[in-house]
Amino acid sequence: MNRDRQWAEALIRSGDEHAFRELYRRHTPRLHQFVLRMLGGAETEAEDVVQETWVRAVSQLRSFRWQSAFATWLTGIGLNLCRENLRRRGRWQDGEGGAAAEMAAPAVPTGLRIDLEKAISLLPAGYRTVLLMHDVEGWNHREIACELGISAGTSKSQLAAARRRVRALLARETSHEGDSP
Amino acid sequence: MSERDELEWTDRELQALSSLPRERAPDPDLEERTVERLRQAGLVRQGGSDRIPGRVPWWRGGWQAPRLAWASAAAAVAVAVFFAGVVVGQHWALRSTADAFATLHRDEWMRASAQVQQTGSAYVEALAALGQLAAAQHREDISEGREVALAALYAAADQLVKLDPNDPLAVRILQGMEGTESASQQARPAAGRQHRVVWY
Repeated sequence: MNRDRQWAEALIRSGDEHAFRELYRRHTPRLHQFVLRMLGGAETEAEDVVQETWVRAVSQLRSFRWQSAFATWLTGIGLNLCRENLRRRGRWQDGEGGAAAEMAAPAVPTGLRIDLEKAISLLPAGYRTVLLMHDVEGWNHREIACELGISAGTSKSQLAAARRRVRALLARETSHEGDSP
Repeated sequence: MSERDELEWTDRELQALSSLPRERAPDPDLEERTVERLRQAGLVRQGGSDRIPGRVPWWRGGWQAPRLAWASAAAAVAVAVFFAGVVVGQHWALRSTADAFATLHRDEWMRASAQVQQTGSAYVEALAALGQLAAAQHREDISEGREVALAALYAAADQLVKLDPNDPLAVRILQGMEGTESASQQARPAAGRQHRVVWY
């Protein structure tokens, strides 16, 4: 039995606060980074989402079947909360196509130096989600499709669109660097 | 469209992607805020253990078993401390009583010794006064005082021998006085033997 499961069972069995703190300290840094990127760098909102993620995770812990890693399950909960947050802010639109995501894209601040982190944060939420899940978190298209309720093909096409957008943003950075004296 | 088409990352882009930080610690207060929310929701209980759960069979009963054990141990310790306190208290009380008796006896001995010293001093002073009177007056007038002084000295020597029968000085004084008394009785006529000792 892995350590996560031991702590989780102690938490389920007796509400052991120490077990929760162990799980929290083990997984929060990665969860927080993921959520922060998903929300485009909004620190306060990211912390609210992390907190809510843990509340939901603990309350749903009994239903977790341990067929995936605890971190993956936790990230899935965080992802859904990020989508709820983006939806409230009008930055997320459900749908299979990439057009909706394109519409939600923030304006690119021209003339600013754009690195990869910034380029990802400037992606439309749908593109950003797929890119982060696939290229940063290491999920495959089947897992992404299952988590987001889309087809694997849509996940692939959105990843391609996301990469294309990032590449364009980075190219613009290179272009601006070349323009500068 | 294949995933390995023109939209695959270049090596430089992959390097940039892999260099992105995967972890970022939130505000340290977030942990406490989260724990507080979970407490309010009744999902965690305050406290906990530093030990890894689930390794020992009796932990299957949750944390109630160790808490009960701790409570029992604490009660046992409390009872032990109470009775130890009683025993120590009794010991100190007895010791205090013994000390008080010892102190009382020591005081009595000191008082008795002081009394002997004061009486002896008074006796010597009285004899000195008698000696001064003897120088100024007739010896017949002080013979009665002298006889009383000798009788007191004899009685004192007798008490000293009773206090310590092995005290050689006291025994010699007593024997000397008894020998002198015996010789004087032999020298006097029987009809004229008449003591004029006044006992106080």
